[in-house]
Amino acid sequence: PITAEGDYPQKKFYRSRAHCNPLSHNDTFDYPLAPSDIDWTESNYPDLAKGTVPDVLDIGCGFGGLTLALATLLPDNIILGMEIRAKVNEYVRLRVVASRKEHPGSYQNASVLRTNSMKYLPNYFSKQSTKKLFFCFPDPHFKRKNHGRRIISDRLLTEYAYILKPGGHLYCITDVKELHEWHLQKCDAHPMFRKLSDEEMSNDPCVAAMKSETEEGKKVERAGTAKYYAVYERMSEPPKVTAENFFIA
Amino acid sequence: GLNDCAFVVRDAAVCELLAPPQSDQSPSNGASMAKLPNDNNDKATKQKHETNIPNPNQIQAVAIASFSDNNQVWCAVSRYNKTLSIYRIATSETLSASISPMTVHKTVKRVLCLAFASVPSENSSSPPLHVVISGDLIGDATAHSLSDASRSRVLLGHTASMLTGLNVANHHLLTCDRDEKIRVSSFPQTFVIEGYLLGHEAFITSMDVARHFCVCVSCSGDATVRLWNYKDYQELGRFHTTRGLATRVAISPSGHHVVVLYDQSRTVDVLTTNGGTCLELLTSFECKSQPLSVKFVSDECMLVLKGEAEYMVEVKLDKKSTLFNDSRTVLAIRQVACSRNIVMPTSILETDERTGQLKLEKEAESRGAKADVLPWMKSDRIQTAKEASKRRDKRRRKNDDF
Repeated sequence: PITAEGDYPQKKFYRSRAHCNPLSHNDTFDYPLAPSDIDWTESNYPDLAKGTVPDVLDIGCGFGGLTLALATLLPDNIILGMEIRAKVNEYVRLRVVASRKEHPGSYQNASVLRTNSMKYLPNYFSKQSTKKLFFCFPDPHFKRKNHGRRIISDRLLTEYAYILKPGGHLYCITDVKELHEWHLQKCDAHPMFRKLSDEEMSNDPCVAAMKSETEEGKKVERAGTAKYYAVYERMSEPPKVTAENFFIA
Repeated sequence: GLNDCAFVVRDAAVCELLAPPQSDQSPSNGASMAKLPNDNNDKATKQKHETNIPNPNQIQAVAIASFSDNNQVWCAVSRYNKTLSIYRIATSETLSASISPMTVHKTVKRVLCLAFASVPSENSSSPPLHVVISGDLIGDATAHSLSDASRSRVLLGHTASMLTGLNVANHHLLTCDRDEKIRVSSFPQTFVIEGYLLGHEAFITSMDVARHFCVCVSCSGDATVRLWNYKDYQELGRFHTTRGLATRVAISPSGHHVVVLYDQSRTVDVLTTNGGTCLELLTSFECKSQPLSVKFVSDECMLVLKGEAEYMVEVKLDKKSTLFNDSRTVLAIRQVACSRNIVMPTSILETDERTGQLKLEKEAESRGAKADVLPWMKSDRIQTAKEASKRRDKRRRKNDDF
């Protein structure tokens, strides 16, 4: 293999095309039948106690910058990065192994999984089992016919509300203004999410991590363009739907 | 629905539900007399056409309901040309020979399953809102207004999948897809997912609900029929099928009996749930032509929709045996269908013409390099990278020296 286990991987051997179609049926994934079938400590978190379940998800983690930063920022949570591209996923896996070797005792709570999170989230996570979801610099899918492939959509927000605990947070950041407006529009329209105010956002250290720790974020920093972000809270009580507001809701 | 004609039957009276007007549609006429209501005659049948161009009026799904707050019977029919027609029949009047749709919705994608539902109002004195919910080819469940053709709202979606079954029961909306999942959402708060019934290993072909007992049954391409409790999300029983791919299941209102239909097999299995604890074979019966769909009318009586000559039969369950019973309803339908010479499909499942694979199965195609040679296992890449950087350094030194 190009990189031995325990060595830090070099990005140039793991470069992959940025865009992919998450809705296609061409890529076959192995996925469990139900969340209770998975033993996360088998390959993802070998040093942790049995029954450990991830509660912070970095969906579309890319080269793993945020996943590893969150591991030290939130030492009491279990972080899982999810990536659909095989090469990039392998890069992050090697990076986690190398970091664990270099800093013994740290990074035991970080790992990565190769999966299509648009299709298989309910297979991996049970009801209200996660506390935070991160969507950093997702693929904008500019063409109108590809808007259905965007990771934040009203159908998928229902699934995210299912796996998030009440009071859990959903973070999204992008450098494309149009995509940010789309995120705001979709999340505001979904009855289970409430937008956090600027003051509430500034109190959260994860927001700062999201802005500066991802590879994409650093690229945007070098280019000097703006970053747009928002944080939403998953509400505990769903609003009532009646005959009067059924078609307007 | 029989091929491209839909009928509603009351006792011995048959009324044709006409297709919405179109430029290339030939005029059709209905049949028969009129009498008293009989609500439980809804069937669905899909056609797999031998030629390449399916009939645009071919029926995809039907549904029927009557609501306690008004004296009307509502029918919904969805066709291949992406129209969803809604018909209203007053229970007090006599049945006319044929009726036109009251509302016609144009759907975004072809609708595969239908169900009626009611949304309660703010205050108990106002009437509830009645809607029809459709499940389509792209995995979306949409609610349509019964009176307004422009009012529809997408309630939920199974991403990149197809909805093969849809049921509404005690404030829950159950949807099942070809990704082996049965989703239990709240109704009418469809943006809240209550849970999933997970366990099937292949696409789910059909699902039915015994609403008074929070129990549902599903059959799938993994050769099992499973019984679930959708309040606790537990699997109650499993039955392994041996007659091929199960295409339809139905459960009796009391939850005691389950009927299973198979593709390309004229034998129908009747299972018992032993009070909701397991699924075991009770008895089977043979049909003279391919059975296509089944529905329980009462605890002991079911209607089976099948191929030519008989079109529909009524089967009574008596302890461990079955009896065929030709009631007036069955005879009326048979007479109309025979007089119109309706050709019934041989199978309810759709196949891709090019590959011959079932449309419900997911294509698995590996792209590019073979999977056994993973890109990061090819160590010769390190060598090529070393040589490339050597060449680059040499070029840089040459440019610096000039």
